[in-house]
Amino acid sequence: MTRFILAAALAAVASGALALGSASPSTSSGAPPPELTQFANEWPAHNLNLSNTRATTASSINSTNVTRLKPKWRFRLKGAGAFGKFSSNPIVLGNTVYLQDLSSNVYALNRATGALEWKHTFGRSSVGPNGVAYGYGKLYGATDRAAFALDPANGHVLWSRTLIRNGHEGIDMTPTVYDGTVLVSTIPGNARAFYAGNGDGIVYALDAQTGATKWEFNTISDGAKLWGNARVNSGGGLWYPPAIDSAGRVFLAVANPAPFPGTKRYPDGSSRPGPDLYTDTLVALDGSTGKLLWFRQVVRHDIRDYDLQDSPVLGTIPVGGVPTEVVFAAGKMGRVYAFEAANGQPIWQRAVGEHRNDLGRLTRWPQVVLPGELGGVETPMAYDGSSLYVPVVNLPFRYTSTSVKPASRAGLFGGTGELVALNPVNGSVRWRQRFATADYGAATVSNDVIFTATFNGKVFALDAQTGARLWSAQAPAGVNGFPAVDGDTLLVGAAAPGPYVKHASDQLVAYSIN
Amino acid sequence: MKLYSIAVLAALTTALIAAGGAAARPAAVSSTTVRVTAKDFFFRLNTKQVRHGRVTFVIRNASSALHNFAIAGHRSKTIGPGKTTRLTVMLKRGRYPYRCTVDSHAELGMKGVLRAT
Repeated sequence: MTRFILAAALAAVASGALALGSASPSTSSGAPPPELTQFANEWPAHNLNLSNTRATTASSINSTNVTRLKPKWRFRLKGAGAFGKFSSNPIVLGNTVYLQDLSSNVYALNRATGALEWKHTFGRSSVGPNGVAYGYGKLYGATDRAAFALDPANGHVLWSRTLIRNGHEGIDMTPTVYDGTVLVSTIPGNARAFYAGNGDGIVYALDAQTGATKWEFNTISDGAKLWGNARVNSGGGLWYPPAIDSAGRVFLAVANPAPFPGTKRYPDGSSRPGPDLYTDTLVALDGSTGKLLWFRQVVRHDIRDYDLQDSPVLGTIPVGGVPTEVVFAAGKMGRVYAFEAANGQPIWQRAVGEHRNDLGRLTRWPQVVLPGELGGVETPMAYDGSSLYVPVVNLPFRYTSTSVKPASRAGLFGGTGELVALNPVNGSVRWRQRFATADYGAATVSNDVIFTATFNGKVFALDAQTGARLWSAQAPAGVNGFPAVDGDTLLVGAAAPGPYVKHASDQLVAYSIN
Repeated sequence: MKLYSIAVLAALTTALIAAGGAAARPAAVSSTTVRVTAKDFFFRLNTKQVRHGRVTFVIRNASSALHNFAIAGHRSKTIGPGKTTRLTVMLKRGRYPYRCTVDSHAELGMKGVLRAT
């Protein structure tokens, strides 16, 4: 059956119709762990819930009091990764804030004071993003090579499972927990080397109690063959938690293929001819078996490193007058997509940010491309039922068919940012707020306020209706982490690399209105 | 027997002189140290050119992220902020591209070419 589905999928690709029709309903229930319900008024998961909405109405922070936000406590961040020390989302349950730094170390802090309750030192550097998830009385996460469960009371390891198959693979994501299952994916690289060849992104469904594998799904459609050249090629995997719906479907947003744009021997990704499925693809699986339900590839044969890596977001919008469950997806190609959750039928797509030479083949001579390799929609969106809020990075790179580098001498620090609010029904732009530096700070909604943060360490509160700036603060370092809202408190991890903040101090800062 | 002893002594003396000479003279292979500073996201080397032979790179991470240094098929340890590591390689005459292999750091500017003369 699986082979039949794959054959049908490939036939569909060959005919240009990239969606695969729904096979059969999922047998999974998609139930969140009880703690996500119990602590729903706090911030119990990376993206708040299994729909990845990142929008809370349980907080007391709103447009009338947001200007009162002031630092309440700070916690020093120390463990470094490929891009600073913190590229994640703290979670809050009960009286504790849990977080993971970019050395994979996990911390439990007192929610009221920020005092350290315990830490578990892994000392395994991560490219990031990473982070921890909670469920069934355990705290889950991953190092660059293994998934683990910790005792949330003291940080002791309850189980650990090595998932990488070789030194060319790694892990850099926050797991998702549902139905007694922990989902986590490998990626084709780690902090020592990335895209070195022979690296698959494989999604593992692990038993939440024991870590035993329930099922796995290789995001490389032909597995070990790696599109015909396993020595050179690699790709796929997840950066962020997938979405789980109440029908038990798992929605994966899969990253890019490599090498990109290509090598001297294999320009334009010619070592991997064809669409390179399931890279840059939204994939729907049966959450209980891992069986493929449908997929939709948004960038065929990607040569620009245009991942579809952002956490998919679930919502309901009218389609033909009928309330319909949809999946919003976005990534480094700088486009946002809406698909029907049941079958992957496309509803709309919208380009956000600046675009230039972002489609088609590359040339032998340098061209400036936008979004560049580290631009587009890099970090999680938010959805409050009225609008979809999209953080954007405009960072140009100069590409040829065999090379890529930043277009300006400022390199990674030459970008600008935007937060764009889209109408979820048709993708039209409601408002757009621009920033002086890149927005790697996600979108987070508290009532009628949208929070985001930029690479220069500015934290912003915007009006949900208009995008007007209501409040801002300078964090003690640059930000490429994602704010969480908990009651009267905004948690911001500031530990990005860069020249923006003199005498930068890498910290998790709790801003409170009280 | 005496004659044999003298011959042995002579051979030993020759060997010791040879060994002592090797220790006293500069090694036939030159040894150079290159100081490398890793920043966000570029390398600063104290020279762009070295004499061929044994080259030791002393790599200091002066950034807030992880970095390493790869050259001529060898790669240093990946080190965190404030740390220092060493990488020793043998270089023949030629041009040697170097890079940080961490994620996209090379594309961001952490690469260059060292010349061995």
